[in-house]
Amino acid sequence: MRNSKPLIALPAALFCVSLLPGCAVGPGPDPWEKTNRAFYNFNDKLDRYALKPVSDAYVKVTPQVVRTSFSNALDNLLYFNVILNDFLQGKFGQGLSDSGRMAANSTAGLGGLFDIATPLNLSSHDNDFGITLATWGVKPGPYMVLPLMGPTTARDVPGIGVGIACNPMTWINPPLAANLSVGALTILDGRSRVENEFKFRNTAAIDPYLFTRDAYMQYRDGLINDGKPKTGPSIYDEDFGPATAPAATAATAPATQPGK
Amino acid sequence: MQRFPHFPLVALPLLAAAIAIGAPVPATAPGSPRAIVDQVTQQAVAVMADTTLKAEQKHQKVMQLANDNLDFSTLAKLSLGLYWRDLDAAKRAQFVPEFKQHITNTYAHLIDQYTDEQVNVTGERHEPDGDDTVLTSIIGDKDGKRQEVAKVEYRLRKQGDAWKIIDVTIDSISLATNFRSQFQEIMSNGGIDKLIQLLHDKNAAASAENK
Repeated sequence: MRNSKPLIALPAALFCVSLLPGCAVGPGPDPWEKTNRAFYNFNDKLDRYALKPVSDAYVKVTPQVVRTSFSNALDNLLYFNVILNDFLQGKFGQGLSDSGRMAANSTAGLGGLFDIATPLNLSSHDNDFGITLATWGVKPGPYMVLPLMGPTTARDVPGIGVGIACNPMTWINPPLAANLSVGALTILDGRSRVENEFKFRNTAAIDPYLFTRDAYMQYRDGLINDGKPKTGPSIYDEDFGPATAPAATAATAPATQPGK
Repeated sequence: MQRFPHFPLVALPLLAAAIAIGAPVPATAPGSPRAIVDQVTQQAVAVMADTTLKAEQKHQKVMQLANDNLDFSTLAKLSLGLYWRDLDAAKRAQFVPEFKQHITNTYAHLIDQYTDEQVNVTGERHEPDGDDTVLTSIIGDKDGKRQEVAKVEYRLRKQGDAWKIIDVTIDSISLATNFRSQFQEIMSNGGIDKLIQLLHDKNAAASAENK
């Protein structure tokens, strides 16, 4: 046991250091905001000048039915991650249903190209190791934006590794060309599926970084709570004071100040 | 008839009730939160699906629905949080119209994105503070199938004798909460003038884009 500790700690420490190139740690849920914003801007530029044009071209030249089949196959390929975390969270019914889903789609669905499971009442679920950690009581920790990967939290970072370990492509060690093709397709598919969300962000956000951070946190909370309403104090309970506004202050309305 | 010997006994009162009202019995009481959300969403879908209307006409009609049923002032308060209490009347009068214009532009964008989605009211939740949340499901085309593409919740509050929508939550993301986390940080860094300026710039960019 004494020997195994550094083996785990070292990569973790290196990883943390690589994320924090000399940034100051501030208070609140986003202590690394400065670094996060830098990576956010980097990701945004990368998206605008590289990913979006390629993704738009992909959507244009590839028929919907083919794109759907690719989406299905990639979802299916990564579905072992969902099943594992169903069981880790003690959701045995959902774990069995998701196992049946993956089995049906991998076989009769021709390697996942066709989603035959949904009409059989084996609908798809979102699940990952970050949600498992949350159900085990782990707090989200600092918000992070990773280069290329986007928003996450300290709690969700280990899930990236678990997701990779659960990907059959990792087990079978395929030739480089196959790995690259699947990787490229995963990026194209993922980007094309969030186009509407990105458009909405561009319209709705006053500060896109803050919009994305809050949307990510609320969305993850929704997945963790299984869509159940939050308990405890809420923004709806606040008292906004009397209906009439307070008198103008000197700074905002100098005209009302006599003797000047 | 043998299997339903009491059929006329059951049917008669129902029939009488239907005739008395002079219309099919509504599923929910008129004016209830559920009825309002059902009506507003069905009317909005009808407008958006109407191919005889131009984009500008659709914007106007949907915004009319929003004006009648959405309480912008409460949404603005929820979005600013406790900062609202310290704003004087002049700043409130500057902030609320810019905020409303921003919401309007966001609606216009969503209207332009409409393809063939339908809205179903799926449930209702009575909140402990007296508010009422109506749950809806948006059905559209996703991955080549007709299925749920989003869950949208409308939170309503009784203002006087009418229920008004005070927040919209899309797939667990509450708009008021989202605006609040943006506004808190902008307010703490640059104050209300900075926030009004940002809203103003965003609205100016949106109106330039539409021309």
